[in-house]
Amino acid sequence: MALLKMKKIKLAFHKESAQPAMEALQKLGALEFSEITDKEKLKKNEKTEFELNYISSRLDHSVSFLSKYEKKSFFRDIFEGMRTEVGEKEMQDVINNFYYNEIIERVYNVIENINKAEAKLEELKSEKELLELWFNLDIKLSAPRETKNTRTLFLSGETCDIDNFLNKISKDIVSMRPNENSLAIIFLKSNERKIRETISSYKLGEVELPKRRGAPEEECERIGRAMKKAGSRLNAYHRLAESLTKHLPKLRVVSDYIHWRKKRFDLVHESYGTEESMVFEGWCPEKALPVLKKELSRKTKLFAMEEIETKEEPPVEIMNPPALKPFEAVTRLYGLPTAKDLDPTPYLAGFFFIFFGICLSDVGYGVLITSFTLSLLLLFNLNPGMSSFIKLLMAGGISSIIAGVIFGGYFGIDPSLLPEFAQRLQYFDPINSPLPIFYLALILGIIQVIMGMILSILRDAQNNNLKEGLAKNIPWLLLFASLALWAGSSSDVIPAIIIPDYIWLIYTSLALIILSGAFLYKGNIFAKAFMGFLNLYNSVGYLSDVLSYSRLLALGLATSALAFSVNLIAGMAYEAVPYVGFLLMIIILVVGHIFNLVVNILAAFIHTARLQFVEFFGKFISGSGRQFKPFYREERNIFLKRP
Amino acid sequence: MEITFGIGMVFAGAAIASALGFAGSAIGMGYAGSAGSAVTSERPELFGRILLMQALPGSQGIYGLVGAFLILNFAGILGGGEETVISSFTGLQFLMTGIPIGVAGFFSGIFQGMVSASGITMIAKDETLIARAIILSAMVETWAIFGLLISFILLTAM
Repeated sequence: MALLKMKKIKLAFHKESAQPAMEALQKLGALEFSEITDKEKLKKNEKTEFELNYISSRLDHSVSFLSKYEKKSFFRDIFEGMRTEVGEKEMQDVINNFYYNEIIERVYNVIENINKAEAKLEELKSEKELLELWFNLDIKLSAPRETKNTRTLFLSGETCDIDNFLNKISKDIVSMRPNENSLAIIFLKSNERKIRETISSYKLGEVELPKRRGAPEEECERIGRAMKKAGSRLNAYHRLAESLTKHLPKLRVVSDYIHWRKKRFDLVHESYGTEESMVFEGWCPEKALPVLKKELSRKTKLFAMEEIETKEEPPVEIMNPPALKPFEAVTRLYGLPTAKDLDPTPYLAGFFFIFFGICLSDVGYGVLITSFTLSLLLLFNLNPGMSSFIKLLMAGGISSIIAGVIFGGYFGIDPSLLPEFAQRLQYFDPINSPLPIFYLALILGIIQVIMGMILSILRDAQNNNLKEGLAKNIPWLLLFASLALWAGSSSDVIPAIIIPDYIWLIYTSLALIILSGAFLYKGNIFAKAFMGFLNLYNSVGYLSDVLSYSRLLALGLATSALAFSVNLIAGMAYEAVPYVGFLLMIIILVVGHIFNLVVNILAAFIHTARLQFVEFFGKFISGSGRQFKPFYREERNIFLKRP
Repeated sequence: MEITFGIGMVFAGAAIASALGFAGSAIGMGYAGSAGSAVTSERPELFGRILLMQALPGSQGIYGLVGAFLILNFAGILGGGEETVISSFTGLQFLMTGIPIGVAGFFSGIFQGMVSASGITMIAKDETLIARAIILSAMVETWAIFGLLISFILLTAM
């Protein structure tokens, strides 16, 4: 639970054992290689590099092309992506026995033919479109455009321009007008200059008609036939591509395998070495070091490993027990803490759970979310990122059921219409008396802000700064405590006997705040005094932090108010519309509630996350940690069955 | 419930609190959203963080909603009995309580949106700066929160 402690290590292999060793490292996925900058790197073998890149890109292209033809259900496509499930042994079998080169050749052939057929179709289509404008022209397209003395031109333009053109120049030409906007003219070459000038003065454009045999009408028909033929050829290729999809699972395995090989190859040449050895540096979680060593020694005896002391900022990875794992998604959204910070995940999990529930606070919606996410988890093989997000949503759904029972939210139905046991379980009534929830939200806010301050002390203690951490936070904690006592006693929640006047406690904490401000600032006495008083200004920050939690009330209210209006509109439709009213009511209910659910899940998630990020994280982490990116087998097209 | 001039004033107060807050948030989120779409087209992997930045100026609308509910609740219109009687003068007081959160929400929503939009361009250049981008944007929100606070204090003082 918390941040993984990272160690920087140096690994040296004998050249011959580098390949199997790298394979083992990639399979383990626990080492992030860092670039070695101060030594000369090994040279890449350019031929191997070229070949690997060539094969890898052809495989990837074939897989992505064939994937378009694979038939998969809509949901499976969304939640799983186009991936094939495969076991370790199966994978080895495929790699050893599958001759992918021939398949790729066939796939590329199909791709080429499809491209050709599509281009041909496109060409025919544009020719046909052009000829259709000249449909009534009674000249064969094969007729020469030019004789010794005459020239033929095809013109197009606005109707009135052509009219004016013909009026002006009809003496000198023979013309044919297949439609309003087109004109074919024949004239003597001796007049050419004059005629061309007139053409441009009337803004007519010259058209190049395709060089074909017959008249346009005849040719249109011919093109139509050719298009049909090209179309059926295209279809045949599509069917061919479909039939090739049976190789897709194996192609996927090979494409990922070659991709991994490429990555290994790239890495080997990031190292430095001597004639016989190769040296790498990288980060590894301390816990994983023994496993790493064991896996390596299973592959080869010719290696050495040592830890390096370094002042570099290590990469960061967080690790939590399965119950808290989904909440890591929230931390990751913000950015990981740095190596000096705490992992906020275990501390935010509870708050996130509660806040999300309050924001939604509806049993019906909670049940919908929980059952939907649960069925996704059971039915599909989700990738880890997606699955942890879905689990987070499921936690939100469960929390929303609990909050819904307490707040009396059941699809926005008026609480007084509910069965009695539900009414007895209802503790708050958001619509009729929102104030208690307002106070509840603020109290939750105070708790989280105080938690943030405590964590800030812990963080400073971890970095040998305990004194500063205490000075920064204790006066404020005292102020919060004394304000709480004062509020409690003035509203008679706490009997005012222990200390008669809490107001003195408040004054004391204010004085401490000024003193700590002065203590923390390094400077002369006047600057210290000034900074001390300025520290009081931070109360503004804490106040606004706490008030910001009032959004919990508002979001909860918004859900129930919207659900209530959906029910109201549906009820009106039922009463107002004869015969189909019932049907209409059902449609409005389903669409309306789904809309409300989606909108409010989004709002609940964003605002719950925001409370963590702005009001909570702000106290103790910075979110500028660099994600630990181990060298691993990236599963792009397959997912490996884990034993 | 008989609608009197006083009750009309209460409604006006709730309307000012909510509508101005909503409008401010809408404008602010609009600014942030258009900056966000531009950045998302270049770096789609940042969408989650950008969405968060865009959501920040949405708080004003929520505070407006809280304010409106509190006004209606304190006036006894929500959950009150049938005989809610509010004099014109009390009604005017309720109207006034809507102004701090409404006006503060309107302006801070717009300006927070602008800061969020610049924050988004900041994240586009370096995503580890998100904490600072959030803080800069949240500074503006402080004033909407104070608006809500004053509205609340005015209501409890009545």
